[in-house]
Amino acid sequence: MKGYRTLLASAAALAAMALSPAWAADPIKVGVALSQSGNLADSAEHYKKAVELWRDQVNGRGGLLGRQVEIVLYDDRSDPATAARLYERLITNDNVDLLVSPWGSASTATASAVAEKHKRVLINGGGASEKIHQRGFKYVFQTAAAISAYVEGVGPMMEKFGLKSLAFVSRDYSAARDMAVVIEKIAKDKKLEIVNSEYFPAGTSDFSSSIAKARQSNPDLWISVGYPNEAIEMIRQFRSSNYLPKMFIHNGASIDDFLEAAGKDGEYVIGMSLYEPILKTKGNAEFVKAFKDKFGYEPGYYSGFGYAAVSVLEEAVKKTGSLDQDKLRDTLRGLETDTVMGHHKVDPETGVQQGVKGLLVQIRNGKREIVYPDDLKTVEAVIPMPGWSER
Amino acid sequence: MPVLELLIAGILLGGLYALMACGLNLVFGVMRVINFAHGDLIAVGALTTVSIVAGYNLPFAVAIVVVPLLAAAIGLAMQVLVIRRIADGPMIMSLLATFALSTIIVNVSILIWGGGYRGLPGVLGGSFRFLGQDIALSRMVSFLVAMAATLGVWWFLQNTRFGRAIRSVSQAPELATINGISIDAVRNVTFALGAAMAGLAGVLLAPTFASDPQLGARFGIKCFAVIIVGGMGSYPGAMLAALLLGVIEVFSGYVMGQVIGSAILFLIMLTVLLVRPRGLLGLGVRA
Repeated sequence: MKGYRTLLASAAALAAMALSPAWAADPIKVGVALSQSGNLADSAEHYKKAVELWRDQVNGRGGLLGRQVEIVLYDDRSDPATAARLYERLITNDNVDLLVSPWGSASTATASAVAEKHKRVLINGGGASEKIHQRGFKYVFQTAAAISAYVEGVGPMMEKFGLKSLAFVSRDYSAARDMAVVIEKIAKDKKLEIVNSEYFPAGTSDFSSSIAKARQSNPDLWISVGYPNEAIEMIRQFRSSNYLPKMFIHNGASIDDFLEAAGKDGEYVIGMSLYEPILKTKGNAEFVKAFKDKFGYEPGYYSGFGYAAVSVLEEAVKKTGSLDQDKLRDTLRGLETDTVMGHHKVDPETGVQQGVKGLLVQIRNGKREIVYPDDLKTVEAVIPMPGWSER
Repeated sequence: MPVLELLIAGILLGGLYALMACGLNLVFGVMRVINFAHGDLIAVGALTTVSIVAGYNLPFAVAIVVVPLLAAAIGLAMQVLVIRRIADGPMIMSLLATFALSTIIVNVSILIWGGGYRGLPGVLGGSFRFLGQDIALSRMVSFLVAMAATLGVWWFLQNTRFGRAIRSVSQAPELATINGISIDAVRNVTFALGAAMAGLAGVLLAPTFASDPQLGARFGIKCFAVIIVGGMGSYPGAMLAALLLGVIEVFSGYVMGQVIGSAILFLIMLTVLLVRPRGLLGLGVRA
């Protein structure tokens, strides 16, 4: 009987708390919808874990503005329309205080439109596309590295090693089309010759015709954007047809699968990367350790993106001293800070990320070493790659 | 245009297609079953090869023996548990059943190997010089195996007692029964053999391509193009079609880019279906 009464009393107390207007000890609610199912679920999981790690850390430090932080999480099913609906719900129904974007550009594009409509600040931690920020939005700030960051090291590296020509051979999808524009601009600025620019459809596994072309036109650099299997297949087919450019860059080479699947043939291949656990950025060593202790593996770039997003959010809230969305927006427009991804700085007009630098990594002795930019590099790049017969 | 280089690359690629399509063709020729899961058996073969060679550090030769046997066992299980019960029904039933099996195999593979990409470094990786060209060792081996397998199956069907039994089951099942041939036994062996050939194709794909549970989707459609153009059920036809499609793909990729190059492959397939549905040398889908 006594137990029953206690239960009743605590239930009443809980109900009273839920009904009472916000008071100082209420947790700050951070809303995020991200893929827990669908094609982005695998990568979004790592993004989510970084956000959860931050929540535990910030609560351990005594919370934000003296209040505990709580994450309100939904599954957008990797579907942009669902993402929009869920952000509507986070804002109007759950009355969350702060918003972090979904994982991936497509969902972020729709979620940011909803946030903008309600004049709510949204940290874009997972959408690389610059197009998200070309719609005149005033409340959306990018912490994710912009698409152009992926390839920005290409020009300086080619210049440094005296490379003059390149072939662009990419899977036909939107990220590659965006990057092609950036590469064309780099080629124009640095007076590099593009000897071949071609796309191949999804599902392509054989690169004989592109290799035959490259043997004829002999580009110094072969650069590709696509999936890790294509990076593996390209390097293996280079080897088996005894072809090698001076420099081979593929974004898939910075995924762990590549190291094992390509084995020794993968040595000296260069990958585009935005975050590496070995990066000497502010707080990164501590982040890697805490992440590994909690989840049992080293954080990759998906987790780096998530952690950078909430770090910037925390910094902005602290600096503003309140959750007022217009004041927060004003802070974010000029905020410069350092995260595990590097320096954070946005263009005040568009909110597009300008501070985070893209990295180039080279596979050396079975590990990724940073070779660009100079101030973050862990080894000097070996270019041209040693030929097959010299290894 | 480096004609010789492209020609050799196309023929070797065609050899891979022939190898992948061979088992599919056998099963269709004998049982009139279109095995949608064929590509997924290839994927299982490739992934098992990676596990054997890179995981357990056993020689590649072990995979060549073990993987086809394993694939045959999976094929036999598919046949006994599912296909046998519906093989005499309308073709759409076996088509849908193998489609379901395909999905199951893909997802079980994801459970076993994960969704990531694997590879087989250090096996048949290099090249050799021939006619002034660099020829990929792995492709040459799979080309030779494809030729041997196709000729072997063809010879087996034409010249052995069991081969004649298989052909009689596919052409006149009632007569075969009267003559004391067990249709079930023949079909079991055929399906197991077809699956074993998928496994073998997987073994030989592993050194060149990235292996993952969804590899079947990347290659399966090309197997269908090969046996449709070649004439479903015809072994010399499939071989010829595979080589032809390989050469056309490489040349058109070189001249017009890969997006158009791979579209041309399927345009040819469509044209054959419309103009000559029995294929180059085939029994045809209407047989």
